[in-house]
Amino acid sequence: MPPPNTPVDIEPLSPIRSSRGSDPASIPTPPSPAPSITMSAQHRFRTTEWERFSNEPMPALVPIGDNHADRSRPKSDDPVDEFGPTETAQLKTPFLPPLPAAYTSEPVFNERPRPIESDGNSYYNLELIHNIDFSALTYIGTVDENLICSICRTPFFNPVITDCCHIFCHSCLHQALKHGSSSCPIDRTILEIVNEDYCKAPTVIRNQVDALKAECPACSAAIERSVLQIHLAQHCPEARMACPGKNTSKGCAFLMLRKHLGSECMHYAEHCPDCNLELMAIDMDHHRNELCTKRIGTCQHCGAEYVEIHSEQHLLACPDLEISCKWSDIGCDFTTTRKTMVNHEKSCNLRFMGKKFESMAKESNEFRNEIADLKNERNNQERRIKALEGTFKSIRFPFDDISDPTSDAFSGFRDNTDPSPTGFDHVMALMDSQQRNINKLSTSLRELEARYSTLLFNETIQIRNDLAELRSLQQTTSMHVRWLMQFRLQENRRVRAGTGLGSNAGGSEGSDGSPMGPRRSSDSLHQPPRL
Amino acid sequence: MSNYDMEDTQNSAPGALPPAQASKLAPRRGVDAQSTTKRLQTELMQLMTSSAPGISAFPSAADNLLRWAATIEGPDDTPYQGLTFKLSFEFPSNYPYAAPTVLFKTPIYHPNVDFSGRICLDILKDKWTAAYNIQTVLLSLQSLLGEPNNASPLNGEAAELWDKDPEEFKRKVLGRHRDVDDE
Repeated sequence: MPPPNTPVDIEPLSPIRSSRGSDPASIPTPPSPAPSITMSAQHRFRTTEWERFSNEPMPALVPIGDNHADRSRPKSDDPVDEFGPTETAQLKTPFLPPLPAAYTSEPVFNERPRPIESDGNSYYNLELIHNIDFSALTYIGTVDENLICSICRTPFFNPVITDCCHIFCHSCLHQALKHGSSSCPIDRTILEIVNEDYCKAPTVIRNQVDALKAECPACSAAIERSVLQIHLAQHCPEARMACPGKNTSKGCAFLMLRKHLGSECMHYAEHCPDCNLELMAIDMDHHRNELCTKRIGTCQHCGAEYVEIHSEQHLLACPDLEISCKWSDIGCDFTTTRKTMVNHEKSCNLRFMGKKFESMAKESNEFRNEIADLKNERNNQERRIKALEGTFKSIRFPFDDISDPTSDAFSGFRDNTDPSPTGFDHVMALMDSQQRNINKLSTSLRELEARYSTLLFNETIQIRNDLAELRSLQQTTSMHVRWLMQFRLQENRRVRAGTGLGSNAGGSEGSDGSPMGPRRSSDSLHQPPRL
Repeated sequence: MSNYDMEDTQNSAPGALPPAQASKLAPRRGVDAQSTTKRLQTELMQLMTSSAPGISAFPSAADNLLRWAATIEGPDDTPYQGLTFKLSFEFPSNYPYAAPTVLFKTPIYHPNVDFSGRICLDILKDKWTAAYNIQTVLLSLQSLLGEPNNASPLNGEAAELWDKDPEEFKRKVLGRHRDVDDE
């Protein structure tokens, strides 16, 4: 089906949610914030395309696609032009997104007759058969090379094993045998397979490939491959379903997405009450909410009229809309209409504080950024320091030979440092090595000193002992000498007195021994008097 | 498995039919272009991520995956050492169940290659199996340069010189080799 071409002159804006089939003149409900959905580009594209004609407002703000490319007319309330001939290309078929790559065909209905319950539709939809091309699936992560068929280069699907123990997908091997000789594609062993009676691959292999996760072809969720069929049939919001009208007398044959499934058939032609465009009822809400340029809304506040799809823009500028003071976040709870708010803002008590507050908020933001920067820097520094510490630990200083410490230190340093040390590292390492050197030297000095002082001490003790001995010897000797002298003097005196002769002789003798005179007399005390 | 496959089809212009839909329009019986394209995309991915040394291949046109251009570097210790050869691959619509047509684009003097670049190699003819791929074919061709099959030559003179006069053979190889522009 060709993409519908409706010339509508809006800038794509957040649509307004309104209930299904609401009155054209209904009061616009306040805009609800668009749900923040993170989607892959692929998914986003699909969603926008799919939702363009769905009956729900589109959550995305910016529709992508050529249908919006030529809409440049600014917002205006005049509902006249552009009701062009393209509008007459009427939408008699409901919009459906393009079939995903791995969907080989639209789902088909199970042929088996089945009793229809009161809620027969869901039953019917559960019986839909979704045809998935497993070779076109996108698998999550990397798949083990051993689980990849060498013919289709994708993970095995319905693997079969040959007599020579090679595993292929059933369809791959079947095709290969149909096209060429009846030999194994890998080692050319002749395979004798009659009536397509292939031997199933071991359960281990089947379980492994069944456990592989693949993206659901419709909703992109990561689903185990083996339950993909069930996911599509029972859960996937993007899966195609039969219209609820299928089982009614109408027998509606249209398909729709599960997320749009309602309770009754919406596949009948309807005219837009505003622009008279004929389209499917199922697409009507989307058309009226987002595309129709003739739908006029009236503002409940100011009474102004505008094209409904521009109501959001109007609310941003409506003079009678009650808004709160712009200093409301610092305590002003004054509310009034937008046009009178100007007066209030001139006299608002908080206006000075507000300005101050704003500047402070700005400043604090700056500080916050600065702090974040500093924190980052600090983390970097810390990492650097850790790295440096690690480098230091790995450096070995071979200082065993004290006699030539510097050269050894350098060679060891150069050998063991990181290939890219900074100058600082170098100096630090050098200082460290010198410090160690000095320590070693001072220790050995101290040792030497101690050793020599002990040696000296030992030697002087000997000398001192000798000296003491000598001194005592000398004392005894001098005592002996004195005694002998005394004795001699006494001897002399006795001799003089015994002769009785003049003092001449004594004089002459006295001249010889006069110095001894007193000593003799002293010595005589020791001698017992002989008279 | 490449993510690109999915994206390519999903991000194509809204008006254009994705390949899956295109193939759906035709009755889906037997091997269809979809599986051939899929397989070639997978092979391209594989070649881009883990290419063997001395060989390379890439689709020659952006919109047609069925035509590829490839290069082989002459193996060391052969007369082709240091030379680079360009080849063209053309894949049938039932690839990989049928062999691609491979031609030497660079003029080459080789016992199993004729003067228009056609190659006599069993795996490109009757010995082809679906398990072969571009990389294995290129590796086979590379080894064919070093070990020609002189029992069934396309170039009889070359086959004779290979055994009798390696010097002359080398001279002829160098004389015949010249770089060619793409297409």
